[in-house]
Order: sequence, then C-alpha cells, then structure tokens
Amino acid sequence: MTAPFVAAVALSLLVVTVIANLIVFTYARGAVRAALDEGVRQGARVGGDVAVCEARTREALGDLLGGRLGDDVAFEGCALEGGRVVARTTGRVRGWLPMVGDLPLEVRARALVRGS
Amino acid sequence: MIRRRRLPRCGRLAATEDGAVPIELALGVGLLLIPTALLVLSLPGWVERQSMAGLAAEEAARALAVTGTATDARTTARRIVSEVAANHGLAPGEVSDVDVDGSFSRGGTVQVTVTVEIPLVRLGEEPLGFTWDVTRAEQVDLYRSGG
Repeated sequence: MTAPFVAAVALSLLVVTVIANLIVFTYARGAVRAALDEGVRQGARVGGDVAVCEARTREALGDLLGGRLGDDVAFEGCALEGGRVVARTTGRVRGWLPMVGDLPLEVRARALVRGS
Repeated sequence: MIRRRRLPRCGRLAATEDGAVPIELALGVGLLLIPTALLVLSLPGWVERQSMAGLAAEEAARALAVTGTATDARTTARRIVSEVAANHGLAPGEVSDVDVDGSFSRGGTVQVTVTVEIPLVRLGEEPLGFTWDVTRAEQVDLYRSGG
C-alpha cells in the first residue's frame, strides 16, 4: 500500500462524508417544511386555531427532527394573517465538517382557513 | 535442492505505472464519484416530491369530500394543492396538473390526481425530468348536508 493510494482512499472517504452530510441537510429541510405544513393545515382545519397549529408543529418537529440535529432550529410560532394560518421557523443545521458549513433555515408555511 | 523464487516487491509500482494514482483518482472522482453523488443527492428530492403530491392530493380530496361542490371543485383543489406545494418549496409551475373526478353526492367518492414535475438534471432554463401522478380518493359522508 503506497502513500498515494492511502491519500486517494482518504480523499474519497472525505467526499463520501460530505455527500452524506448534504443528504442529512436535505432531510432536515424537508422535515422542517413537512412539520410546518402539517401544523398550518391542522390549524386551518379548525377555523384558524393558532394553538392547535403550534401544538401540532412542535409535535411534528420533535418527531422528525429530534436530538442534536434540531438543536439550532427554532420554531417561532403560528399566527393568523389575512385569513391564513402562518408558521415560521428559523435557525440552522450544523455541518459535520468545517469545509461543509452550516445550512441556514428560514422556512415559512401557510394555509387558508377553511370556510373563509 | 529447492530453488527459491524471487517474489516481486509489494508496495512499489512498476516503472510504467509511475504517476498512475493521481490520474486514476481524478478519473475515479470525475467519472464515478461525482455522477453517483449527484444521483444519490437527487433521490431524496424525488421521494419528497412524490410524498408531497400524495399529501396535496389527499388534502384536496378530503376538503372536496367535506365541503366541495362540482362547480368549484377544480378551483378549490388547485388552491389547496398549490398551497401545499409552496409550503414544500415548489415553484408554481412545478405542479403541472390537478385533476378532479368522481361524485360529490352522499356516499360518492371524490378522486384528486396531482401531477408533479420531477427534475433529473437542469441544463439551461428547462430542467430535464419526468412527471409523476398521484391519485387519492375520499368518500363523501353519507349524511353530509347539502349533498
């Protein structure tokens, strides 16, 4: 086993790690979007109840993004704006390597209140 | 007498293979690793869009089964689907079609089909890809008022 071979394997493993990290980023962003969407739809279904929206969103975020992955993701709550239930989340998902960086998250979801 | 055979020394490249590792690495990364990585990275997006289409169709079918009428069914379904799509980060043109079928009378079944664009690669303005249809059905309540 030569030094160039070892370096090539190490570099390939680094690339694989970066790819895995990007997949985790994709998952985290999708999970936040799904949780907010679920929350606003639940809230919209019961006449724009903000408390229902917040409870469902927190529950979904806890299920999908529990543990350290969601530590820096802050749910800002639900609000009723112009006949729509709106939910917002800000924060970031930490990268595994300094070269990858963090994924900034600023997600917003909304749903028209049923019957409005 | 057993003559000892000389084995080639391990760990050394032949003179003709000098410099092969950097070339093989570059080719391996460029032709194998990066295309595979792009494919693997695009797969979650496909699944996410299929799942979103199912969710949107389900939501629209449910809303139509509860309060929908045949006259405004398509408009209502389109509005609900576009809202769910926007919440999942899709541009308006990425849901290519929303179709409503079925009966709105009591005990009938309302079907909503959502067609979503799934991009493979983006070369220039128009992405190359395929479309995916998802159909969800919901039964209209037997005791629904106004049915």
